[in-house]
Amino acid sequence: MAWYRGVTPPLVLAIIVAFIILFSYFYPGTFVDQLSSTIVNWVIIIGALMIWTGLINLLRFSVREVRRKVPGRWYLALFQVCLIAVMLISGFGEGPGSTAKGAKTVIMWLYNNYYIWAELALAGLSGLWTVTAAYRAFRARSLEAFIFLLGAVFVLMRYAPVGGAIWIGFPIVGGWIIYQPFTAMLRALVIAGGIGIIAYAARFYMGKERQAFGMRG
Amino acid sequence: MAHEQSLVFLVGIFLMMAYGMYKTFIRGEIPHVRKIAALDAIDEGIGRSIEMGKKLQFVIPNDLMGPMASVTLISLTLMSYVARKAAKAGIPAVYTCATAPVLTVMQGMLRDIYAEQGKLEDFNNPEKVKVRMLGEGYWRFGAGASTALALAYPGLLQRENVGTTIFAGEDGKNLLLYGEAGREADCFQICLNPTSSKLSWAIATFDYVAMLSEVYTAGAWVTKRKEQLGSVIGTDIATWTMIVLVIVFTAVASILGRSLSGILVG
Repeated sequence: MAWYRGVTPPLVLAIIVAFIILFSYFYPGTFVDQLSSTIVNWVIIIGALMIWTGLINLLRFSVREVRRKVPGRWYLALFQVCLIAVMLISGFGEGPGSTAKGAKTVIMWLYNNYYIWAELALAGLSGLWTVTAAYRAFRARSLEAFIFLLGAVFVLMRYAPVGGAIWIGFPIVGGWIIYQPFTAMLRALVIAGGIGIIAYAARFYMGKERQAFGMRG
Repeated sequence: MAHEQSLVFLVGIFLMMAYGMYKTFIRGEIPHVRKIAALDAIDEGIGRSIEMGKKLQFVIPNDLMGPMASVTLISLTLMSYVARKAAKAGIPAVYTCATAPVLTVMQGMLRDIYAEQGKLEDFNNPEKVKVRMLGEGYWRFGAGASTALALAYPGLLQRENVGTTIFAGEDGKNLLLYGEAGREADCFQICLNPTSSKLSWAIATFDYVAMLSEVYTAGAWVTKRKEQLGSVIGTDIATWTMIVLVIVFTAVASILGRSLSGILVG
């Protein structure tokens, strides 16, 4: 089996572009860097086209669900189509700058009065679920869980004003946990993750990582 | 100078990967990949869903553009593995994403996978396969986490009667929401998180978690192709090299009071 089996022209193009972007980091101010800047600008343009592809596909998908009257879905799909229409009309109708900060436009009204409140509702849910998750995580069911709980108590007491008042050692031990073992562990994880990304990139550069492009293997 | 040092490191790690691939591809040595609990749990999750008559869900919260592109690509690779298994088992599945471009790619990939398994009629049957986008896009409104997906997620789990949910990617502060919503819906949950963001939340709320390089290794492992598995050998060599370098650099800095890189550069 030849090593180049399955390396198709789009994949070759993607690999060349990836190499240019990669080397522009190491050779700033050179021709490769300029070429990389041009490619990055093109990414924005291609990205805009990609959004349209996605949007048209989404509309087609939603309209089909409405036409088929898919139970439990069709009215949501209809709502989605209406929202897309409102956003498109308001966005294009009000022209460039319609999403600028402080602009009195329909699209910004929707953003300020609908989206931001939805995000705040999410933050409220997060707060509630932090407590339930913490309750479950802090049950000492094994030695590892007990060590986790012990570390958490010290860190918690470091930040709680009452911690230092109860025992002066809480802020010291809590600080040590954060700045010594936790930082070391996090750096180890980040380095390991970085190597994983390079391994993935190596597979990609050699034309072996094709599944994400819809190709087998 | 810092760039040259980075280049040396990068070339070095690439050479290790190339050596790993050479060992597997030319010399036919298949590396041993230790068991990744979260990957083994995928089969368990599929079995659980079949037994309980519930659905399987695969979620990709990230986008194809921007800093999370590699995360999305590896998530799509893992989705293809899960989709093949789901199609083979004939289990009803819901595939959810947060942006329109990912939806388009997902639909194409899933159609091919179900056709390859001879289950195209399942793909066209909304009772069997659903491909969903629950997100707000990413230009103005979607900066950061996928708010719409996180808000819709608890309802989706209840409505679709999901038994097993596989979350592949990273969604910052919302990760806790996914985990806790799944717990409330009594779902078997697997998190495949290739980033270091909010890992503690994932560990606290999900049943199984594969993290960082485990996920990238899983991407190679699921293909079962030897040239892909070769990168695992390279990853191991690179990891051990880094461990040795960290120990040497730390020892030199502790003994001499100067960093080794500073001494080498002069």
